[in-house]
Amino acid sequence: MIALVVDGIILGSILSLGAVSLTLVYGIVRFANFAHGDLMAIGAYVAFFLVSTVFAALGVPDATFGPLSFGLPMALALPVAMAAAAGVAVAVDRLVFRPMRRRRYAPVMFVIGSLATAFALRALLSIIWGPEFHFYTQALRPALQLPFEIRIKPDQIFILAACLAMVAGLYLFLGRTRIGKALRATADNPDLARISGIDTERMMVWTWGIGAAMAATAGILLGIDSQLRPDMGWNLLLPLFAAAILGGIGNPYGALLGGMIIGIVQQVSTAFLLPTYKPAVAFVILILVLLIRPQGILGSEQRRF
Amino acid sequence: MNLLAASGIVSGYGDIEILHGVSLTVGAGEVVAIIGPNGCGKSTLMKTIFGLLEPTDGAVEFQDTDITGLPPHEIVRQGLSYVPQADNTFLSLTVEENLAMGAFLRADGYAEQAEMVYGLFPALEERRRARVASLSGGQRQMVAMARALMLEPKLLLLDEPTAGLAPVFVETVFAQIAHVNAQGIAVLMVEQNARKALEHSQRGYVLAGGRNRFTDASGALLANEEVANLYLGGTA
Repeated sequence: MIALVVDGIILGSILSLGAVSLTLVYGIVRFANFAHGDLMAIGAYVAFFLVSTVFAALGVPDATFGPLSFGLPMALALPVAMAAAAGVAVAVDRLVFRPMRRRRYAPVMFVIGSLATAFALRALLSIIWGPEFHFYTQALRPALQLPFEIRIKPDQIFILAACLAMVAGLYLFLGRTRIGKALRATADNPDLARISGIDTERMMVWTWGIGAAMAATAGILLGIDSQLRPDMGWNLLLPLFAAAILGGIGNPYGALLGGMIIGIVQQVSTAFLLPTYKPAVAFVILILVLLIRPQGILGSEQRRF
Repeated sequence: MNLLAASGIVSGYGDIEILHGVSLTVGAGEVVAIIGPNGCGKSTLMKTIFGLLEPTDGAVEFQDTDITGLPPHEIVRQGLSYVPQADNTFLSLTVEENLAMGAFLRADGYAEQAEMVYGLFPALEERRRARVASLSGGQRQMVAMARALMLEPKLLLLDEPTAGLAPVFVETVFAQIAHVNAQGIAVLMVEQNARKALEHSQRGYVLAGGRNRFTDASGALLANEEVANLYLGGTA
């Protein structure tokens, strides 16, 4: 049971990172981005390509960091993968969503557009890397024995710390910097932001860039924790939305909390249910939230969906 | 010299034409009121001047520069600020952050101008760290005006500044407008509260059915029997 809770916290931290970035994007672009999970997968695969092919060819030493399963190549791959996912997201916005904004399409069309993007990105991953599983490393790392019979892999501690650091970094960015405040202002009231002199199209670029970079990080951490598959992100979409809506969509603090809750509940449920039902658990939570408290745990009464 | 000159503005929403050729001017340092019945196009005119709606015909000039069709974030650079009627503050941001957003285009930061604006609205300085959502309606209206003053505009556009405010605050808002105007800032306001608006302005425009109906000094409009009967709810 404790082991499941620990696993749940690790999964939850990855979900939190994904849900926080999902909700950030939602707040600015004002539609549910169904391609968010696939941006995670893009990040994971770009890192895989760099670690398994490019850096090996370049002769980057592949000694691992202490007890962790990865080393310098992954540390170098992370920022590149973040930038690549950000580039993909910004390019998709240019090619797909900006023309739709110009023509004032109905919100549902944007959602369908993001769904099409999700299919396209996933198909691209399958074409390039095939449908089979990939691993960053074959190395096995022993789990650490902590008090209270808690067993945790060093990688998992790193995942938790990385997610928390990343989310904390986003809060500082949104709270302290000029661009971060402008992003919050744009999410709060886009018309007034434009009237104030904020170029909201530029804010879209920032949002997609930051959102996709965070998603890519979540994807890489998920790959470190388990394995890479073209549908790794797509499969997380439901838990991500459940987490974002549970916390109150558009509210990053809520998404952090929602991600943790969904992660822990999903893992603990495997003690009673077959693991195949895990996505169903997220779905049940989602339905319960929508029935009981549709604005989410930390959401305000005013709904934007 | 005219600060703002809108001529023959035809505009509306999609296929629905609301303005059928409206013209107006605002001189430097003037307070000008636009009045007229509901649906006559007062707010549409404001949105069109500020680039939120694109006119199908006509031109907007500010300081002899054509600003027709420019996006709002370009227009605000020219020295023109706009306070919409509704949703005119960032509710989830603090008072100070609202001012910072008003000064988003300033390269020199917002601190100095914020001190000036707090001088105009001392009540806001005490609440600078408070979220706007926690403020009263009157205070929010101050935040809205304060935000619009952060770029040191030459002309302030106010859309229904007293709408929805308790009567006691209405006088306060007009006093604040006079105070802002005393800094040399011209004001163009749309008001439902027509009599009060004319009492607190130098010139007025009466719009009806999307066209100019009357244009005169505010005092003359107040004294005009037809205007009084039709738009001020009784004889002068």
